[in-house]
Amino acid sequence: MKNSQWIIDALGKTEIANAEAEVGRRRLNRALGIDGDVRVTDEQLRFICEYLDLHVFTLLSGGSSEELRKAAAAAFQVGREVLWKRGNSIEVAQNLVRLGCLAVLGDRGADFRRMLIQRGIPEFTSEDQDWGTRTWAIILTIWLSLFRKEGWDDLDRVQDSVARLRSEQRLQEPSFLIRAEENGDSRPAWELILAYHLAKAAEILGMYLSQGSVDRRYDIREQLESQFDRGIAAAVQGNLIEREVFTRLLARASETFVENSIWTVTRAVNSRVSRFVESLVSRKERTPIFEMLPPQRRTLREKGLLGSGSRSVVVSLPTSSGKTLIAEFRLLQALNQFDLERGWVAYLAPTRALVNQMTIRLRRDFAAIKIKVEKVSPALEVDGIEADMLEEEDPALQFRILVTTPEKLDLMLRGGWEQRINRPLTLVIVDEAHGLSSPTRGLKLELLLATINRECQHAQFLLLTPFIPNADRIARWLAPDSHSAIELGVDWVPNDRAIVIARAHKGDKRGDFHLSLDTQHTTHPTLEIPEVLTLPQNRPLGLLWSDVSSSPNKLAAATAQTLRDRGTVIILVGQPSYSWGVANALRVEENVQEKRDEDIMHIKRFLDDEMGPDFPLSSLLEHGIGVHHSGLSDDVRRLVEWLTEKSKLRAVVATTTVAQGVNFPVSGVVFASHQYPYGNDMPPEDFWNIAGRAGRINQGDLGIVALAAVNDVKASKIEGFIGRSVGALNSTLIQMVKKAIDTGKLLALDKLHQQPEWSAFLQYLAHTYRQIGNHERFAGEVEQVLRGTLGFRALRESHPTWADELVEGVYQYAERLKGGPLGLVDATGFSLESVMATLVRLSDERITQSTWTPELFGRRRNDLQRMMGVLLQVPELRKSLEEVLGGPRPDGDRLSRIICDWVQGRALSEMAIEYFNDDSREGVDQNVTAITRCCRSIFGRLTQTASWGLSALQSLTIGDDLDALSEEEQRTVRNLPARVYYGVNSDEAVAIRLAGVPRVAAPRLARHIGVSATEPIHKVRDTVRGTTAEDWRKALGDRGVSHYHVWAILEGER
Amino acid sequence: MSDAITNSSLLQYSDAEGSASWEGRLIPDKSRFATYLRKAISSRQTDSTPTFKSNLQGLATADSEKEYVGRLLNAFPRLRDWEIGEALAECLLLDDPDREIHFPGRNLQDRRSPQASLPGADLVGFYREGDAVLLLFGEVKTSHEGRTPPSVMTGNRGMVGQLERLATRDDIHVTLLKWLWVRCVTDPLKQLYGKASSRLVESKGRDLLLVGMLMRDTAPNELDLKAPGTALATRVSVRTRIQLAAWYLPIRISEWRDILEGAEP
Repeated sequence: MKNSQWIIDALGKTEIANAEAEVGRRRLNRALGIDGDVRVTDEQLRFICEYLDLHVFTLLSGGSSEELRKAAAAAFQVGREVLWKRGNSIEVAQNLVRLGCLAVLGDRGADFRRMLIQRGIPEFTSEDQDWGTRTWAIILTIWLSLFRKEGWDDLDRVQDSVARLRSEQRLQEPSFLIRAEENGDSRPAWELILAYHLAKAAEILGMYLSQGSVDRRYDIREQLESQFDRGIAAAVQGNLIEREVFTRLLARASETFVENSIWTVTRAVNSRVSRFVESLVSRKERTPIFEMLPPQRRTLREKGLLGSGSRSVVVSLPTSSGKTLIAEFRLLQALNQFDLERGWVAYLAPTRALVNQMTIRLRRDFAAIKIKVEKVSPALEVDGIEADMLEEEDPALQFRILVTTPEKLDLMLRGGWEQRINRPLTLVIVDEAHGLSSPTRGLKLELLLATINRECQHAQFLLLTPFIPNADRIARWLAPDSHSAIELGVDWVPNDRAIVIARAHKGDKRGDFHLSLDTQHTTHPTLEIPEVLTLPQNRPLGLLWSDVSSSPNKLAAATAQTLRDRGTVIILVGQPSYSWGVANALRVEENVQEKRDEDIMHIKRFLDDEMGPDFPLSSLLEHGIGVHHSGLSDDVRRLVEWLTEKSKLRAVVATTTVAQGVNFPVSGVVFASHQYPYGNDMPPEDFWNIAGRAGRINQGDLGIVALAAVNDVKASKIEGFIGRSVGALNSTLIQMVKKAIDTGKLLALDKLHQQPEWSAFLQYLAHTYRQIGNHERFAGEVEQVLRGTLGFRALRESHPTWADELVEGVYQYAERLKGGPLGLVDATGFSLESVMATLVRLSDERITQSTWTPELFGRRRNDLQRMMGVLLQVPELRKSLEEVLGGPRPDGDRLSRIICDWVQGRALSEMAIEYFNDDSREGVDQNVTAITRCCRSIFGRLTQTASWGLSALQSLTIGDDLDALSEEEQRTVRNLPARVYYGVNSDEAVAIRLAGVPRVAAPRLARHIGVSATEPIHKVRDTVRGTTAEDWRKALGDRGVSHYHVWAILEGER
Repeated sequence: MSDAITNSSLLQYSDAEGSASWEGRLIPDKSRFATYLRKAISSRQTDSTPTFKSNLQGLATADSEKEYVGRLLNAFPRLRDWEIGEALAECLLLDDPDREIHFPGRNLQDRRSPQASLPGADLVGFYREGDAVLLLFGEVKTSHEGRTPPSVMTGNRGMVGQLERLATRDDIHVTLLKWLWVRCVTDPLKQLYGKASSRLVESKGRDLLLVGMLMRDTAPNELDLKAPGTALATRVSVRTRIQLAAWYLPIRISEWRDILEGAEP
């Protein structure tokens, strides 16, 4: 009888499933505005709910915590529909508290908070209530405030209400109790005793949540237990049956409150962690964090990440589990471990946008505890300004966290920057670490981690991934003797989701159609109902049957339109060019935003300058529609994300780039396509990563993810796609080796250098060879070096003969490395073969040290043209540069003209027409296509590749001779690639670009506020931060005010 | 406790309608009843004074005044009629030789309210019938009123209303089941609990036994129970068993307290 499974058996699994489906049906119907059938009545739901609640009760003491969690979550899910619906306001409030207890015990506290925020806490008037009733009403309200914890107001309310209760007690109690005595009724005395203990318990809990102790005591559990025990004793004595069981549940939920409190989770780790927690909870915070999300609590405390001595940890959690905060705590611990040495942490994010956002987030979070956060640009060189920052000697100004991309850190470490920084790298945090299996960039990341593991004595690792089934193996790879994998599977979600297939159905009249949504069974916990839901609207967006019956994009637009009333919807299209058609379909009268929004006004003005005056996004914003894809500038994309975060957009038409946005919360996602541009299905992990954004913490009650299917064949393909499980995270090396074996090149690795992924592997060999510094020793350690990689370890197990062959190939390659200029391999990010070939070409083209002047982007464009000609032949760069040119045309002249225009600040709209025009299209469409291609080329390819290429050419032509130049000359030369990266033509403008100033504003603002290129970056940042809108207006004219506004958004100042 | 008194009681009337049945029993012997009454109360009552003193002491830890609450708790030094009636009814049920009844968690509570408050039941336990075990929820009324049926049987707060609610309100069932769960601490009790509550759940909250006990010091009269029994039979599911019993006792209710304090009948 310890196991109370009998309740579930007696209720019947089918009955429970029907009840759950009914709740799902009702929530979906409400979300979609459908007046649907009721298949299970409120009465039946209530019956199931009551007994699920009994099941929870039987597990309160003695049951396993996991069993209790699951039972409570199940009861909450049914209870949320019916428990608060019946009775007077006291009964409603009491049932809400009960529901809150179930939510907290079931790890669904966030859902309940949202319910309370949306519905409000029942209010009571003091009239017509006797003191007993009034006391109970106050108690219930106090506890509901604790459940809601909406900022400090709620916690303050708890303390105020308890104080008021006590002061009123003296006045109200005597007459009330005398009446009871006259009636021969002693029960009110017991009720009051219980109520006062519950008030005290709430006071204790509220204090603890806000300050981590109560009267400087930390025995919070004992203090609470004492109040609850006394309360329960009073209820038993007074035979207050209902209140007794109510209090027992509340007592257990309070324990979980304490367990979830940020103070409990982080107690006694170190002083830095304590100070950090104080800052998170501080009254200055707009949204103070009083408690941890369940995955955070389990990761940090129950799974021991905070106390972990493990050198390598993989945290594999579902999207939206609050991984950043987890990383921040681990990071503080690592800084503390190496505080004397002033160790630093590298935070690796895969994209420029994420690097920027993480920097802003970490800087904001750590400002109060004075930890310096810096970023180095993803440009593959360390420019002059960055170099100064990295080598800063003043401890007060030294960075402790460096945010960048894996590629940049790779080149930095290979360039000896750990030594130059002269402080140890103590922790590497890899965000989105599932990128390890990316065919294009995965191997590079893997080899970087292997290199760090081999060469950085103090380095520890924290890899953050969405759910993967083999986290343990990944963790073991980096530290076989000191690793841990923290996996929470997929069973926690910040809120419920339904995955549906959206179809259109022809109506009776010509052109008419309506939509249906069919919920799908998935590998994740998602809401599912047996029947297909029919949406009431006829012809959403005024579209015709002929539009939606053949176009998944139009069908997606129509679906999004029906979801948009609930909050922002993302519509995912297969490629950027499709986005405008879908966005235009949404540009209808009913979507015009009624209120003029100041932020949108400023952003529109910025768009005029950044993307040209007729750019369609500008008018789309007035309809609450955004567009987000690689055909926009980075800044514009970030602005669209920001507008979405602030709920200023109803729909965002995007490509999968949107998945890389940090905290991009929406209530629905509609997939026009579940495939990437070349027709491949997106991997399940990418699908769930995007789907995971539908309905996040603080976002709506239910996330809806719809996939548009124009016909049965498509619908069945989608069903198959949704049913696929997330695969294990594997190294790409195995596939590479397989292909090489098929082509017979594994024993001649040098012949593979043309393939960028093999180039990365060859560079890893070259670097390690150089570090070992001895041919024989390297030969002796080949197996060991290879075993440092994840891929080779797996290969050894799965394909031992291939592994032998690879080792043999490496032996032979080592012969080629002997005596080669391996330092140049590290400095350029090219393979030895590419280095050698490029050196020859540079010599042929007579490109030397003296070629490097700022005139490259002006008078001496010919030199730049020749450089581009050389770079177009470097295998590591060729593909990207060719994409800029629109095909395999080695046109160095055109490339150099594009770069010069970019650096000289030419408007993107003009560059689009000149270089990226497609004559086959006409009108506005033509301009949009051109600017889309222009942005994709410049932001997606050119800035990164050309600046990397130039920096590599500098290494090959200048080398150590740089030291012979004056400091200022050195800086200017070093900054030349950065000018290409940032699209500006002076060192001063580069400096303020680093401080987040948009390209169009940078040169004039730099001149106006008198930034000097010799100033350290933190000073430049302070100077820019000290500017006002008026300063910007003076520098740029009236539009300066808008640019200032946009800058503030981009830098997280708004 | 001796079961002799139940054996020696005299059946005055019995009848049934639908799932409801009722009977009236007379206890003729004053002296035996007095002895039984004393035992019934002593078996149930604990010395509650220290506990409630400690309850008051504890109130200080909640930073609350205890003066007025303490006064109310001290206000009723003597047992009240309805309290004695409840204790008596419980013993009579337990001593019924034809029925196996269990009341886990007896004797724990001290004072109760005479006003019916929801949810709650005066009697919460199990009734075993062969292999089958049913939950037993019951109400007790004590009345010396001359009128029949007495007013404690009728109206929203009367026995009929209370039993009807006990028959139909799932939330009340679950509250009582939770209360009972905490008190079923031994394995045999837990087994009874599992069987009885499974049966309740499987029957959608219908298969249980409701008991109504009426303590009277008047002459036996079937009208005390007939109308209530018939009313319940029509309002409650046929799967819910209802057993009403009126006990016609030989000593005036107003004298019970004196008997408990040593007076001779």
